[in-house]
Amino acid sequence: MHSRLETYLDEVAARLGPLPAKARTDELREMRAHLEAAHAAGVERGQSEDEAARAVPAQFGTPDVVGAETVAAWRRGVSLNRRSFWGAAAFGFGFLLLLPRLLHLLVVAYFRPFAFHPPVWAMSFVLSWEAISYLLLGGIVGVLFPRRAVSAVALAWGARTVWSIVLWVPLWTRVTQPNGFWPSFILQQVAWSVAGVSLSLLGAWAGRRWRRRGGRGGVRVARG
Amino acid sequence: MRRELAKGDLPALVLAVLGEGPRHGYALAREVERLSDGALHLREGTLYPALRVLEQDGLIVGTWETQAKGADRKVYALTEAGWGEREKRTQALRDYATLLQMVLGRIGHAQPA
Repeated sequence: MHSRLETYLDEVAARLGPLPAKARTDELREMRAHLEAAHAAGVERGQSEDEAARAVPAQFGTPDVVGAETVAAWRRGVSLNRRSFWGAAAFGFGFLLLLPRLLHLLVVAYFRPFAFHPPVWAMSFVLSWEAISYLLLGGIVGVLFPRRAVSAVALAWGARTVWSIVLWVPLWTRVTQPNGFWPSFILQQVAWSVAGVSLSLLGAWAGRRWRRRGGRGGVRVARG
Repeated sequence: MRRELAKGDLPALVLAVLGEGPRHGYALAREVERLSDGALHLREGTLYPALRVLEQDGLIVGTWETQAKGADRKVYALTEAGWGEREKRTQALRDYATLLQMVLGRIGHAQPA
């Protein structure tokens, strides 16, 4: 590329400091392609190499303006990601807290499987319902908050696990427990959370994929 | 008469042009100029931040393409959401142009006191 354009690009690069390295590289890579194409077009129109190299930055904009607008656009993206992450984590955590209450209502108040069906059936019903709910949670988060769905679901589950342990420890310590209760209890909570978060993450991955491919964010080839 | 494109109108025009087919940034700028017979030009450095905002909103998606000669190019295409937004924003621009024409038309007919 012409040295004048390299200097111009260096001046723009100097104003992209707030951007992380990869974002900065991508922006400059795109601008470089544009400047090269504009320069080549200028030469094709009959300008000399130097004339075209002088005209292109004037058409592109001052490094201050280009740098400031590029940084502002990047910051907007960071802000949207942050909102998406915390929104998804709050949604996930709220859902996970609400789920036991809903299950309690369904099982005890309306279906009463323990009263009319064998315990194995009842447990299968409860476990299936929970598994579907965790998948659904992940799917909803993936569709609504695709940017940070996976990490937000992991955070929601981490918070929920800590909440469960903090909630149940004072209750269980009031009663004398048999030997080996606590390791078994903690192991059960962690195992349950691992299973649940795996299902939620699978749902989040599927939801995000659906949104980015065939759903609200899918790419369609231009008509005509 | 050559006129610089207003910054607020840029996203709508980008969506409108991408409706004709995927393009990279330079081709987008040239197409806007071509469609206006050279009368409308944009500060090309402001095009890429506008493209970034449209990407963040999920209205367009960019894909890098390796070129046999020269720098790699990022080609943009409309997403499903982008198609819907394109209709809305281009109609809003058309309505605005019609309103301006109506106001200026009435002023033109007013007689001095």
